Amino acid sequence: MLASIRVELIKLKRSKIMLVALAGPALVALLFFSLQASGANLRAWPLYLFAGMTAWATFMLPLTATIIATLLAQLEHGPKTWAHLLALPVPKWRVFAAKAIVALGLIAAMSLLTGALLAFGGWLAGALNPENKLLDPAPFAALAETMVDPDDQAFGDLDVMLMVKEWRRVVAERLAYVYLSSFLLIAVQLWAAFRFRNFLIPMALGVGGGFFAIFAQASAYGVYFPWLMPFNTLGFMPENVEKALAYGLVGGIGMGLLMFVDMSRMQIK
Amino acid sequence: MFSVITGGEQPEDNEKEARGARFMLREGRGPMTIAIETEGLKKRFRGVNAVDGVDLSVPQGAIFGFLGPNGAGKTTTIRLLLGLLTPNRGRIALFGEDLRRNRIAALKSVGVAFETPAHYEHLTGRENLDITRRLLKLDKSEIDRVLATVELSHVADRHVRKYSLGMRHRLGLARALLGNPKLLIFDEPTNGLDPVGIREMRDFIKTLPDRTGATVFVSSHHLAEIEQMASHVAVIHLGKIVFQGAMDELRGLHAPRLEVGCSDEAQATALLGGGARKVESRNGRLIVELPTAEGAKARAASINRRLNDAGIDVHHLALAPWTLEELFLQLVGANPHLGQK
Ligand SMILES: Nc1ncnc2c1ncn2[C@@H]1O[C@H](COP(=O)(O)OP(=O)(O)OP(=O)(O)O)[C@@H](O)[C@H]1O
Ligand SMILES: [Mg+2]
Repeated sequence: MLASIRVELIKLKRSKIMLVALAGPALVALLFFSLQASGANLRAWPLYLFAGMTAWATFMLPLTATIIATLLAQLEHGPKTWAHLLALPVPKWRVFAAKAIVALGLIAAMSLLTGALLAFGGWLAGALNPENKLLDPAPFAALAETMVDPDDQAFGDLDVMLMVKEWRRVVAERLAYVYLSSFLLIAVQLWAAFRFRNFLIPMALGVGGGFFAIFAQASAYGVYFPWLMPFNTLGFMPENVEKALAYGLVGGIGMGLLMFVDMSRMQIK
Repeated sequence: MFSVITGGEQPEDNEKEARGARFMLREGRGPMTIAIETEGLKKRFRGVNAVDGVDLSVPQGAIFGFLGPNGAGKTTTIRLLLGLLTPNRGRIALFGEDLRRNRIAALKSVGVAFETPAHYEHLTGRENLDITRRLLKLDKSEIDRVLATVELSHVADRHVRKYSLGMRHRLGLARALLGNPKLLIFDEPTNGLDPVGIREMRDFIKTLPDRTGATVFVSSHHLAEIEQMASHVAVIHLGKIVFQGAMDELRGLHAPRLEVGCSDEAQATALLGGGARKVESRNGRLIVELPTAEGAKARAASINRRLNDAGIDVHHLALAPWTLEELFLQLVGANPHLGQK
């Protein structure tokens, strides 16, 4: 298995995948840095980071996952190397598993990068202009306790006190949730990308999925929609967090296994 | 053994049982001498029987030519042999290992070069080989060995994008040779090469069994090409094997012919056409059929002499090669049912 993964990494040399992996997080961070630096002050760190993570979870993660899955598959579709790869004395599923692991690894790295670059952008905005400095709400926790109405809608339905006191842990945890709940959409995108030689099919699926996600938020069935699961784990509707995490993670693993079985049986013409 | 397939269709079930029994028997034997064995292999694509009951038996150490025109089913058969396609019917064993039951063990002894060489364009030749080498868990030195074998060492660190088609074919060959597999499968290895490239490839393939002890299974739609390198041959037509045997048996099938260009065709035809000998005029040349391959040279000389003695000038005299089309006419003509699907 390690050899299979190593081989996939060799193929990434000089490919555009690394560029996508850097550009996605950088764009999210750049957007929120610009907002903050231009005076649209988000005031506190947790608000700023959650806003950035929402952009990551609803838009940039699904989009870059689509592109990465498509490029990983096109590495073989393009030069027609599937036949060679699948005629080697290596279990067929391993070929697909190695690509899935690379995709998951890249997206994990991108998640961390998004968090790091967002933080850097927030700090930079404050460094450039002290008026835009973001505040750490923790020192004000005691004060907030006396002032904040627990039913205040400013944070949606997020637990406000938790956000004030332990925002670092909450942000890190939710960044991980976003990632884990994206497994299902990643598995679906990989499957489509492997199955179809025409890259427009997985791209259309990803863009279409992301598009519907915007509207599915309002739907009662939105919680079952793979492209919405990362967003749902952010907790704007707390009752959906665990469901989205479970469906996304467990569903993703299940879908991945189905994909390995299906792809191993695929007729290579 | 000469084996133009006869039309007698056995009842399907008996046939299957008989095949099964033979298969089991062979599996149980000691040293395996059959590199590729297929039994009743069938593959259908949307109503087209691309491969239609193919029984192959490729002896170890042979250069086995797999001959057939475009669309005959060569590539489909090869993809079945590699487990890339699942047959609708039939079984495959490579060195006695059943492909369906034990794909990995069966494929361990196989190196393959496909019809159109496919490589990662953005990587160098060396990096491309390294990928396969790692998957096969071979020593790093293998790369330099196969690069030297196909004379590609000088461009090993260049991107494949910049390779010529000939280099790509050679890189495909190098990749197939990694780990010195016992069986090499080449699908039209001369596809798109220039005459020099074709000759180099052919000469290279010819040396392989002696050099590496490998069995070579090579497909082509060129009768002449296969004649020049193969020790054994199977001819496939519309998914069916119409001939299988040693190369010499195939040669024996088609009598040699002499192509004669002369000053007076009518007189020459009258002179040479006596008895059972077939003489016909084609494109301003006479095609004279000779009875056997033995003594063909002496016969050619004697025909030349007879024409000269009769005052006919001879300006062209050559043994005419048979084309695949003509061979088919002969093989299929004798069994008209083979022409139907
Ligand atoms: N993917 C496919 N879908 C449908 N039909 C196919 C497919 N691949 C091959 N065929 C059909 O199967 C038959 C055999 O094709 P195959 O490619 O095996 O022939 P071939 O002998 O390799 O020909 P060539 O010399 O042109 O490479 C043809 O009739 C072809 O049209
Ligand atoms: Mg072919």
